[in-house]
Amino acid sequence: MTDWFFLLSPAWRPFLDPLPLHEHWMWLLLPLTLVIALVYKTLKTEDLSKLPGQTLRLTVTILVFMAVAAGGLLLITRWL
Amino acid sequence: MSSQETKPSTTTTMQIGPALAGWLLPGLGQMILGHKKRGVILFLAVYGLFFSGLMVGGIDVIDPLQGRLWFIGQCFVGPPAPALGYTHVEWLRGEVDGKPVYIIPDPPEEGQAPPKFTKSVGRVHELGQLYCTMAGMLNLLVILDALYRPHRKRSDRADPNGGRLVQRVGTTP
Repeated sequence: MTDWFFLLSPAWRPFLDPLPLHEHWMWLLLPLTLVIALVYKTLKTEDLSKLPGQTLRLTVTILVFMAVAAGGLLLITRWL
Repeated sequence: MSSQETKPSTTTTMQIGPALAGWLLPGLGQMILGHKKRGVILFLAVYGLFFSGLMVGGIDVIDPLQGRLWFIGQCFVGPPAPALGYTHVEWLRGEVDGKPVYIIPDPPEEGQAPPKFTKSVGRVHELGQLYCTMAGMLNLLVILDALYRPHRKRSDRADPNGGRLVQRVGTTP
């Protein structure tokens, strides 16, 4: 379990020391995917009022395909 | 095609100024071209991702010595990346037997002053590096967009096409 109190401790210096997220690194892929989708859709969408919906849709699409690719690679490495 | 259908104009003129501005500050190129809201979103997204990566992995993720290819990608984010890379290298610079070397700081022992930064390792380092490099790559897209995006005139602002140049095709005689 990550010790979140670490963030409040004076020992941790933002931008100089890494965050203790070794056990939860996979969650960091979610904001990364969201920002990639947001930037892409901000550049491609003409009407920015549709941006949140389109960004969300692209984020989910990327995540689904990453999960499918991960599943495929798992199958290949485990059983082939 | 009906008379109402439109297709994007094929006119392309390179705009070096907005593209350079986009490197100095992500989204500034779009703002100069009149797409202020778009520019603000891009600024927040690119810098948000870059500084999140720095927060996750620390300054060690900007490493021109051990992660040269990553660093090249990070440099597209703008001046903060080369500035941080230079600072990082300066902090590593040391001397052994009178010879200049780069020294990776060890974790401090009790009573010792902490080093200028802590070396990040493992997935946290990889993810921090990936965040910062993706921010650079995304800003490259933003710069290329500013290079070719048409200027949005005042009269275009109520336009549902968001100021894109369009030409009407298939007009009926």
